Amino acid sequence: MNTPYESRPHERGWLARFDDAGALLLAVRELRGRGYTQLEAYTPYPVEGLAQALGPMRNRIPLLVLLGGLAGGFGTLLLQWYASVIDYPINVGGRPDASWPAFIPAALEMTILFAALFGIVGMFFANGLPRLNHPLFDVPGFEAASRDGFFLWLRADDPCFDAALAHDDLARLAPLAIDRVGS
Amino acid sequence: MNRHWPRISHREGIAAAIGLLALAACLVLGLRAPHQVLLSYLFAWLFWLAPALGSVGLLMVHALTGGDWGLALRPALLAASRRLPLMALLLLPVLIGAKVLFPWADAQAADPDLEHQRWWLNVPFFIVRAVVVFALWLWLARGIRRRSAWPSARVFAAGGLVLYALTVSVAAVDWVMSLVPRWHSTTLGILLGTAQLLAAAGLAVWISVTGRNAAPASWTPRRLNDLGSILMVLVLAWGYLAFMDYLTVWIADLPSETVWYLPRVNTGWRWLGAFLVLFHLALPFAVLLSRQARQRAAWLAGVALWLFIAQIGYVGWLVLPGLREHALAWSDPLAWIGIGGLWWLGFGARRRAALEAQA
Repeated sequence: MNTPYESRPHERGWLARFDDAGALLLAVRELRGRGYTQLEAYTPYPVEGLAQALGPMRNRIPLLVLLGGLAGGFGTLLLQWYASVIDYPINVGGRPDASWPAFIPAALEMTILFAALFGIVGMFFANGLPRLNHPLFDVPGFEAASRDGFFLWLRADDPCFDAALAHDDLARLAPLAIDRVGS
Repeated sequence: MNRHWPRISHREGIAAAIGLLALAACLVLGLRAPHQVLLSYLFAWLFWLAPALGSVGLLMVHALTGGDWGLALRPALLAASRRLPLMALLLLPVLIGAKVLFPWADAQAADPDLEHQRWWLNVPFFIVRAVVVFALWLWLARGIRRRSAWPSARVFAAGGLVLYALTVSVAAVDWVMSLVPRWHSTTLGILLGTAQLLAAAGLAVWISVTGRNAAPASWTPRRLNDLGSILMVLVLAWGYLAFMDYLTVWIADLPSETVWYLPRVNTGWRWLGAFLVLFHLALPFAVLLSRQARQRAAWLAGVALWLFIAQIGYVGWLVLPGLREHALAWSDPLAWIGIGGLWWLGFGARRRAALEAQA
């Protein structure tokens, strides 16, 4: 196979195709039971229980959304304070320059905006964008994942991964096919 | 629905007996300081009205929108909505004591500003309004309990929610706003209504999730998550309305609006305000943001109970500041215990009946 780059362990491994969602779910549970942790599953529709079966996912998006919200909110408070106290103080009907109650609505809006922006942009990066290709796409038949294929990818960066042993473990689960991912 | 009186459990009987004792103590105190005790009573009564009336509101919201959250809470909400006749009965002391309690009812009040408000603020019309408002609430509660079938309940609930918003506004003007006759706020009605929905949801979530006959298997993470989201929406709506009211008053700085906030922010009551912002808005919001917290029955029930309890602070904030010499009186907890003790009479049996009807 002609790949334009040397693929790293987290882009290699074995891709097994299963008959249906039930078989895939069983396989995931079986492999998790054997100690594998770096599993990825690809299905044409959301399969109930699959996310839990794949185990805890490292998801940093909530933290990113929180940080974005805090940055947007406190940044806007700071900006308003700077604008109306230091940069350009105006006496508005005798109210204090630092009109904190009046600063809050704008800060709230910016909290929401920044939380949403951080979440969406972070999600794109976490999904691997702007990258457009992946060794998985070189596996023949993988496009069936969006039609009727239920795939399980056992990644080579798994601590328990041994190419021959992992292949045997997968073969025991009676998949329709096993293909090598990456070179 | 059976027409018999519900069975009263041992604990409810004890609570009611303690409640009666507390109310008797209130009466004794009230002979010496009627205004002070009536104010405590109004505070306690408004607090315990909230879960009863708010439950009717939530039942109507659910009839309109559907959703699993409403089915999960329905037994507790139905039982709470049956407290309304009791609350109507317990309003009597306020009606009888209106002349003492409300500054506008004092014929000697030589406030020229009050003259052009007299067509609304006079005792006979005040009593008529209370009777009409309660008649409408009882009719709404009965109507929404009887209509479990989908289409007819939706039409009823749509009209009922409009009526609910209007009647709660009348009630808020009469029982809260008129304590400071010179004050006016256009938000108070809807704010009080939202606070009532919040109190009702808090109590219903707590009771439904921790109830002894709540099958733990039926509380899936998803269901708990929905209930947490409902609580969060209500906390945010309440906080938003309360803050907007404060913000517009602060910006406009007009005497007819600040008159209500001055005794609240310029005295020791400001600490209650800070407490409400931190522990009734910020803390529950922060906890409910976390999906792990929402999906754990113990955490969710704890937040729900806390929101219900914290409403004591909010109703106190609405009613008590600036109207008597001492900030707090012994009659405050006594009245709260008194009405609260009676509130639970037959609650458990009603909820179990609704649970069985649903199963």
